[in-house]
Amino acid sequence: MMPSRARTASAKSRGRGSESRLAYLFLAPMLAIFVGFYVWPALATLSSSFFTWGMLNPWRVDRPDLWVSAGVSNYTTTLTSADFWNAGLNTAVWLFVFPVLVVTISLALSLLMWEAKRGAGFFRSAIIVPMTISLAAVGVIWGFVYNPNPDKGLLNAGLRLIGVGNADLTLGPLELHLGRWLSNPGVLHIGGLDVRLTNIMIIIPAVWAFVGFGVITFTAGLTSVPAELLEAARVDGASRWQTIRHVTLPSLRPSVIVVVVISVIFALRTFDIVFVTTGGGPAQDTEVLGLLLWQQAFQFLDSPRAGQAAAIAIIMSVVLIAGAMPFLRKNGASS
Amino acid sequence: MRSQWRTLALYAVLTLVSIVWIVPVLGAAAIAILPLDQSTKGWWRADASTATLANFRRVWEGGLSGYALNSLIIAVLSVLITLAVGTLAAYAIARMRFRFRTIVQVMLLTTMIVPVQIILIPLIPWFRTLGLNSGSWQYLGIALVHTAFGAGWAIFMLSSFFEAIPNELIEAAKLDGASSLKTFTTIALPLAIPGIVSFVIIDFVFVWNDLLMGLTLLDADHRPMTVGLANLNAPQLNQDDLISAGSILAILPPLLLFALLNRYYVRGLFAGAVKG
Amino acid sequence: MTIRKTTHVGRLSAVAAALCVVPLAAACSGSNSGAEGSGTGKPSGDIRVVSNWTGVEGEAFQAVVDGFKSKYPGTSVKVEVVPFDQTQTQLSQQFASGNAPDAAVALPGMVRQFSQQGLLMNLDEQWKTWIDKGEYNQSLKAIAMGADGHADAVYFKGNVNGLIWSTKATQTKLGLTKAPTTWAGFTAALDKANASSKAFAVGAKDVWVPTQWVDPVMLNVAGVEKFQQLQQGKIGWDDPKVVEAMTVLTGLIEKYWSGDAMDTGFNDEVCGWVSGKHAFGNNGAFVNGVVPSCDKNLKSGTDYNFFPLPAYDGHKSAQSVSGDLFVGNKQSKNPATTKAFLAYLGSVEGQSIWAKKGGYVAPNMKVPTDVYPSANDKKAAGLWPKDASAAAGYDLDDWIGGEIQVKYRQALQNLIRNKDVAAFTQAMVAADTRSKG
Repeated sequence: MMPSRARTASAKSRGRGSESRLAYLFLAPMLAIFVGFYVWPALATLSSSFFTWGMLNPWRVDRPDLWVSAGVSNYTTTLTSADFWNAGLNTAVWLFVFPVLVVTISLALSLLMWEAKRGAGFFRSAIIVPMTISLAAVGVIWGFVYNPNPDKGLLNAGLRLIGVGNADLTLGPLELHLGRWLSNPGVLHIGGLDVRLTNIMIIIPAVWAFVGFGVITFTAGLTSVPAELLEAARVDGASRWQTIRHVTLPSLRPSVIVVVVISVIFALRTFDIVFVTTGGGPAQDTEVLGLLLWQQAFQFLDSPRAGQAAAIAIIMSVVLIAGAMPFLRKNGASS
Repeated sequence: MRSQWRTLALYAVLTLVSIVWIVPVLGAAAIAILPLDQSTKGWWRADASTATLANFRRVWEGGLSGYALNSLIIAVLSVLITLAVGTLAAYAIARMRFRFRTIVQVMLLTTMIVPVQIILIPLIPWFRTLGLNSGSWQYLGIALVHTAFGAGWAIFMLSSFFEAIPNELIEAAKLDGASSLKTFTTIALPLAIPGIVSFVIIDFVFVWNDLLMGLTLLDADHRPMTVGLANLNAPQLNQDDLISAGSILAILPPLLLFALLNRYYVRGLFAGAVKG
Repeated sequence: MTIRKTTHVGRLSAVAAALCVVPLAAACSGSNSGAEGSGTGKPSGDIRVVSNWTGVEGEAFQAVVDGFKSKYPGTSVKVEVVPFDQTQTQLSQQFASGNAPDAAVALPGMVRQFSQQGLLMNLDEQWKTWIDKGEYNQSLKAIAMGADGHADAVYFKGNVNGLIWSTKATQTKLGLTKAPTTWAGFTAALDKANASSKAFAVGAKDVWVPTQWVDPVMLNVAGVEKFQQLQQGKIGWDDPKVVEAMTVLTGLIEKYWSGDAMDTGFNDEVCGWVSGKHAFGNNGAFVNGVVPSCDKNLKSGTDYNFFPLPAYDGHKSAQSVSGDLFVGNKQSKNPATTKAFLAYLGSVEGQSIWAKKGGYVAPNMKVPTDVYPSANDKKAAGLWPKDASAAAGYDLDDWIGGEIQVKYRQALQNLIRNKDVAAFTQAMVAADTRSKG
């Protein structure tokens, strides 16, 4: 049995050094896979974005003789191409509409379910179920809802029932064409830009699937609203609504931030549901950046565009990391 | 009196919302169990006695069974690998001090932010070099990519479970002379099992539902159900009955997992939420 | 393989494990091809073939495949079906990941792209035999040419476009006893039809449908030379004749297309004119096989037929054709069987199998007309260009392929929506820069 002081000094420093090595041992398998299948491909994407190449004769790091340098032209062409900005506009619609809808709807539902103490489990399950469904299936399922044939599509059958049919409305800068949900539901003209409402029609199913996540997060947050504050509010004679406004909602702020950040990341990365529902069409109405990327790398072969696709991926990643990292670090650094 | 009216209104709204939420799935399910000519005039008007499982059988035998098997293999393999390497790594990050800890954490965090496409583009030639592009090696290839890309999420979730283990238990094991590995396997893992189960369910559902990676990296024989479903959705043909049946089959496994292991699933998501 | 013992055993062994995977995998992938045929000699063994036909057409193709298998017992052909609009993407993915099939359906645009990368089998020899025997001619071979100077595909399934279909019932209702032969007569018939509902059923939701309109209109308005120059990138989309053709088309869209064109797909379009909801449909000859799925009781020829799009204002009319080619993978593990399969697909024997089922025009000129089952099929086959002097234009966008084709279809969708020819021309000039050097 060593004297305690000696144990503290030398054993501790020896302990920390060997603990470090031990940690690396534990981390090694994960790091090996991580480096091989994430870091290395990401670096390859970065490097290949400075060259011209196509999927049929790919850029290879070990064949410098085959490289066709493009300098920064992939980046400049991308940032000046109409396709990129069109996709950017559609992605921007996702960026704003998706998180707003997810947060407001899931917050409202969470508060309602919190009030209804009994049986909330059933309601919660109904709303969480769509979260387990793959977005491909979500796209297919909502395709049936949106079917323009009033004999097959639920929405248009409803329209026919109330006698509206395929009405066209124009409210200022907003043009609406009812009944043609996935082909031409309408346009919003803001400042020279034509925002296609088809994007909104795809966002709705995505929100439908995602609200479950918001509900779970907010419900967890509601359980940790400080009881003393609630008690104080009750003693002060505050109404239910006042309590919610001044005590509950402020305490939920961290949860709201989490849901917003995760929703924004999802909105920027979206691919699956757009691919299955409209494939980016009609024309380029619903083409988002995730889809454009995939098309340029895998669909267009005659003009070797994979380098440009790589550039888009890098641009998106940089923007995303710069924007989202501070939030996630704050939340992850609590460990 | 007023509060009773209020409660009624509350439950009415919640019931309405729940119904609206379920309707799309109900619609797809209805079309799936009806013969095609019944659903072309609106499934809400169909003759319920014609309900049949024939569509399911047709789409299952028409190739979906193969896809389902692929999805299963990929998901199970991926979860196993992630579990094996992820628990070790999460334990280290949660309970050990080492240099570069922050850098490693930050890098893992980026996997949760960046679009998948950033690694997809060079992955096809890379798989070819590694020999993971042909035959059953493709299963391994895509499982490894899922692990790599899910590493951030895995560490995020798993490390919180390991952190929750009381320090005294670990110290006691160390004092007894147990190596770190032994402490990990005999003390830490068993205690973290509830959390690990939650993680397994969430990861399984996530991999099962993946579309983009399966679409890009796998050939027709190894295709998962999501890609098969996307292909069925080809506009050429009027096969609503097949697509709807396919979609219902595709969502069954995650749905069942959720129904049976509801508590674990929700708790797992809670854990992520509370940590945030 | 020695593993150095250092303190970082864990990390090294992980790396070693990864390295060991590679030679193992390489060894494994080389030996999974099953029975292989030799380079010469009787075809045998398995091959994998990619097609994009489903439903009735899928069954017809399977019949052709079965014919091949019975001709060469000992072979086995595995057919992999991909969605029609993803053919190019799926094929390029398969080639890129090293999992290419032995043979695959393709369009001329794809043939040229893949041949540029040296991926396709050289079929010059086969074509020489065919041309010598009078089964094909040079202009048909031209469609199957790769970018490397030789023929890289066989012409398997032909199709004639620019056919205006209607049911006898509709014709009686409109008092159409004879098919219109002039453009004026054509528009007069359309105006009469417009009285009850828009004259044409159109399924523009399927992005390839509008392209089938551009081809015959462009051929008839701008003429065959301009059409082929545009196709090969020798002139641009701003050429006055091209713009005139697009303007004529836009006029047709505005006046005669159904209002829900962008919401309906091809299937609904066919059922639209079959049921009489609209008077006419502009479809290729293959629709003959699709009509029964709308109405089982109609008999081809007697109950419904077509007339070709008339010549425009005294110009000479040309025939719009399209069709599917088949290519062979240069790296095929079973080249003998693949070559035999491709030869079969281009032969009288193979093509007759599908021809008998209808909804198909055989590119092989020696396929006898009596093999076709119905009057409509025979009439369509009669329109197939059998010699170099017959003016014909191959499907414009299928020939060009690639990114320009995608952009073209998007621009067409915008044109249908806005009826703005100038915007369309501008978009195409930006997308198709081949003529600018």
